[in-house]
Amino acid sequence: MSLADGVILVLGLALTVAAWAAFAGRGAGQTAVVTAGGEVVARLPLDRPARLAVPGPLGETVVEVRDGAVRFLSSPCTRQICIHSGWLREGGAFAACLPNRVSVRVTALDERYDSINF
Amino acid sequence: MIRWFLFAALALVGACQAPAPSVTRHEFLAFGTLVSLSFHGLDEALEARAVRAAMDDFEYMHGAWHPWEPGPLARVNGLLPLGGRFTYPPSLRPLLLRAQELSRASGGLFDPAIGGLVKLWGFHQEPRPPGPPPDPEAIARWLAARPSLDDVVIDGLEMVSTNPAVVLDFGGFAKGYGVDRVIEHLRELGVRDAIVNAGGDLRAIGDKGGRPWQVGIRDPRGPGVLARLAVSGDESVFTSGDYERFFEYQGRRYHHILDPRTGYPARGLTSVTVVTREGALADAAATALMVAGPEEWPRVARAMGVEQVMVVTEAGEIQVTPALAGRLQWEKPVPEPRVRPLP
Repeated sequence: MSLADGVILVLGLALTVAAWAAFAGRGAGQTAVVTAGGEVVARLPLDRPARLAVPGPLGETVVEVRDGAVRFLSSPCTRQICIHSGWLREGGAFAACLPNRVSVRVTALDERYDSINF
Repeated sequence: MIRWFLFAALALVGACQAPAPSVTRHEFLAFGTLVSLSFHGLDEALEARAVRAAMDDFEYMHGAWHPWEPGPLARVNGLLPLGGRFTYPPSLRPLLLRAQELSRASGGLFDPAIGGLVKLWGFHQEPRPPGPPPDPEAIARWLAARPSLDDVVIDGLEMVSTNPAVVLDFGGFAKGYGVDRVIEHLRELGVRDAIVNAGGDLRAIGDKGGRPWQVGIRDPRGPGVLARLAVSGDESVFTSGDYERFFEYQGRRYHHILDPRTGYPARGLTSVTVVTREGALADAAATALMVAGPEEWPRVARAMGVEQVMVVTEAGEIQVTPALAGRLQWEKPVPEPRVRPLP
């Protein structure tokens, strides 16, 4: 095998590995799906910090995305169950404020499953 | 040579990017939970009708079958303790009859007549207000009265209870029965390929253009998915677990699946997953098998006519029936599952 063959082999392998890494990395990205009154109002990628005020029958519920996770930051409901749900980061994780009709669910971008059973 | 490598590299990239099948998903809050609908290959107009139909059906059923909020079932619960014959709302009839059949098949381990016990534990409130478990004497009194669905006589459109302690609560059944009704409605509208998932319990019909639906079964004890199951045709996947609803008091954990024989939360199993065609059967069986516990569940599964079951014990052991064992693809390292044939 000549030097040129070796260089080509290494380049080819490097390209393959880079391509694999790029696309495998994409699968790790996750999104928070926010619904209000039963309709999807936002899809927030978890790798981008964000705050979203969602109006509901009781007032405004604020959802926060930070450090790859999402949570209910504030809510006008009385029991604050949604706030106590804390940070959600796993695909399929779900929390809702039923009184204000707002829900948040974490979904993997690559959608490896059509439905999750639990 | 370079061209060949580039081609090989691009071919690999291409393989990662298989065209996404045209699956659409809709989510909404209904039935006190998150409902998710998945469709494949529907035209827009039919899809919109299907989503509307499912939303309306769940909304209606939630009101009709709520044990306490004013509605048909709450009305029945108000009349049962009086001990007289009364005409019940006819829409409840198929639900009552199927529940009675399944309760009998389970030997009473699934019993929707335990509404009084559910109330003692506070699980009828969402969320359960913080506080201790019920007074043992109150549980003993409930056990002495032993209300069961067999105490309810259904005679045409009239019913009577021979036990004033009967309070109907279709938690552990209504979700399965409701998912069945929505699937039925979707089919009548002309939908062939769909998944209806209500709070994690689902029924799938058809497939994705010849490829099966992929269902992830969540790990009951940790993050992520425990196993993958390919389903097609018509199958329900229901899981009951001790993690779904529970409270802690003085360091002890009490979950919501109550054993009618002891009056306390069922012991021994963390979760039960049942795969079978009918959602109502899957739901009732998952509840009954949780109550049956790690030794008895295969016998109860046989009695109820379900063959595909996976259970996770409190010790973390996975047990699975032969009919399901070959279908599960583990998505994380698991201890060697124990295959348990049904008697």
